[in-house]
Amino acid sequence: MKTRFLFPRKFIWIGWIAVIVSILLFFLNELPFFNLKTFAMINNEVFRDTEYFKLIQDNLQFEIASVLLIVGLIFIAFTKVKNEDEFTSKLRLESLLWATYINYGLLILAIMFVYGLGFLNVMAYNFFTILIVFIIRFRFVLWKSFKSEKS
Amino acid sequence: MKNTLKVQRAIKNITQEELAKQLGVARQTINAIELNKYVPSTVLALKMARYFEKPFEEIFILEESD
Repeated sequence: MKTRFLFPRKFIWIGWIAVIVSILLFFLNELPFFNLKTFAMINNEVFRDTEYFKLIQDNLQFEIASVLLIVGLIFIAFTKVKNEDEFTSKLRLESLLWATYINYGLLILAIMFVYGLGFLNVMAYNFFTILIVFIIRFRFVLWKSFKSEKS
Repeated sequence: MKNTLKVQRAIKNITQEELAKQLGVARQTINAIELNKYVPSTVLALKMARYFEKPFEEIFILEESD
């Protein structure tokens, strides 16, 4: 079936590599290698005036890791599956709806029940939860339909 | 909507896998249609009618609730 907006199958491996590299970067201590000059649209550090549109020096390890993780998860989530057809399209859309509901359900719970600095963590996880929930749910229903009895 | 896909398949004596191949879809799709878990698109339904050489209404039947 002709599908628009989906990545070719090979991208799933690129996605996994990106995710693994990004997880490594998250868990390593800040490496001096990532101390780089970068362009900041807004830079407001505590006890300093806010700067706009300036070149600044910063450690970019977490920024690079976050971008890699998002791109990797998107590749894993939205590559074509084997035997792509109208039924898999429907499963994909359903899973996306499902993931959106779960993601915002969890976010509402976190808004109500998580206070203080912990909420910053929640916001950080929330960048990725929608994609992760989608991947799990979509792969699960694909697997289930694959397993379904030949009758 | 009900369908007689399983019966049609039995008449032609072909497996889900072969039918899926003929129609260019996945085996799971045929299975989901037979289990009434999935309503095929008009294009796929018409392909089925053409493949089985049967009128559309003989393969797909509306129910009261539709």
